[in-house]
Amino acid sequence: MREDIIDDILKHIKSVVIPGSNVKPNDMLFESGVLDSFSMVELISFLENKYSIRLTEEDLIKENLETILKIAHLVEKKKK
Amino acid sequence: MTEKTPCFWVPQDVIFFLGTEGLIAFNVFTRSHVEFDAVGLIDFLKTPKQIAEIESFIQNQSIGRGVRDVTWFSSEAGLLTDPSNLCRNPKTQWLSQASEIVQLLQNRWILISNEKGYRARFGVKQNIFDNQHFGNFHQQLGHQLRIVKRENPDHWWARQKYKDGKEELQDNLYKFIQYSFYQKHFKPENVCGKKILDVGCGTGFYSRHLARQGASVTGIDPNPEYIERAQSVAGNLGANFQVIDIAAGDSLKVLPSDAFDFIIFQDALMFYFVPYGNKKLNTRKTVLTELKRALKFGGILMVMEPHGIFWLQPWLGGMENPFTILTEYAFKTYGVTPTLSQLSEAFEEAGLKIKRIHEPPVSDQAKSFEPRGYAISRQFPQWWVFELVK
Repeated sequence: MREDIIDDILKHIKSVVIPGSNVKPNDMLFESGVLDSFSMVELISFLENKYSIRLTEEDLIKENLETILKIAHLVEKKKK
Repeated sequence: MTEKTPCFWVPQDVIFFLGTEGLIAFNVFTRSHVEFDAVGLIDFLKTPKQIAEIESFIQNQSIGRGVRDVTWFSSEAGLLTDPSNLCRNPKTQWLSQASEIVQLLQNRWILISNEKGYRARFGVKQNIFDNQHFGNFHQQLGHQLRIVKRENPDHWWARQKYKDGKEELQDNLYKFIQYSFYQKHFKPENVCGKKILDVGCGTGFYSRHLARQGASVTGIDPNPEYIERAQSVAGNLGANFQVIDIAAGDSLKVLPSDAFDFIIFQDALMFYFVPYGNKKLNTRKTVLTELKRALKFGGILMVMEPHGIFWLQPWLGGMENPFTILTEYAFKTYGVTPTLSQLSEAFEEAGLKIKRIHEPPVSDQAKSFEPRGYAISRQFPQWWVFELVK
């Protein structure tokens, strides 16, 4: 399950945000500049639609979104 | 060694005033409000207390219905709605459990236990997901729209200013102050036959007003949809429109030199002091210098900006003598409007001279639509307008 989510996030980033990006699941997304706030919101909407979940204001804090791994963990938790 | 139990206290930023059903504690910097039916609890919190003491007080004393959160992001309905308009707040449930009350008071910064940690939160967010900093107005609005409401800020911007269809202004202070100012200053006798550049024209509301006075208007905006709409609505009025993003690169170079009698530049310069979002913008010097180049000698560049004292301060007091609480001017952590000296410096850097400064009054028409807005705007200007020449 988590692997699938990670795959989806990587595909989204590589196709929509930065074509050909070499981003890794553990890379710090904000610090490295891979995603800005706008692209993060787009990624969140994409994941909400794909997995039929709704992430709340409390979920959407920096600590939960810092890496692809953490985002996948959050989505997995909401999916349960 | 046992760890010292932390004490909690009400920070000096909190004031109290009468609410609709109780007494409201208002943190003027975080703009959070908690209503107390439990007035005895406020008295009890006058001195620092340990959490156990607070909880014991709540459990053992009469606290009426308790406390409730009446915090509301007041700007959601529009920039110019009353930030203290508590009667519009969604009514949340009264809380009477000790732990819930203490948690709410901490979450809303009515109680703190670490002065240094609390003060460190005053500052810009690294991004809208940063919950360690309160952030400035742009960031809080962005958070509210993007994260809480999932709304596009561009749509919000248009909605709070224009009626559906984006062709007519809402009956709010934009109309009763901004438009009223333009109606007074741009009449056929001073603009007929003149060439006017409307920078950031949107769907062309002001361009059409100027064209109706007989001016030949060029409207520019970065949004192609707005420009298309502006062109189709304007018909044969004498206005033409182009997609130009003044914030980007050499875009302004396409404007002719010494060409315009008036240039209108409205609610935009502040973004060159405190940017919105991550987009890289031209410097304010570049933008102002290019606009100066496009201006004729003897022409006027009219810059209208939210006033340095304006910004979402609570509207308090009665209708006859309204007052507000000014929390920031020179050093802003929440506000995003430049000060008078910052603006003056920017104009000087671009070689522009200030001919006159206006603080546009509110028209009497506002009285029936927004009486409190009318009362506060008569006393406190919402915008200032700089007539600049080269």
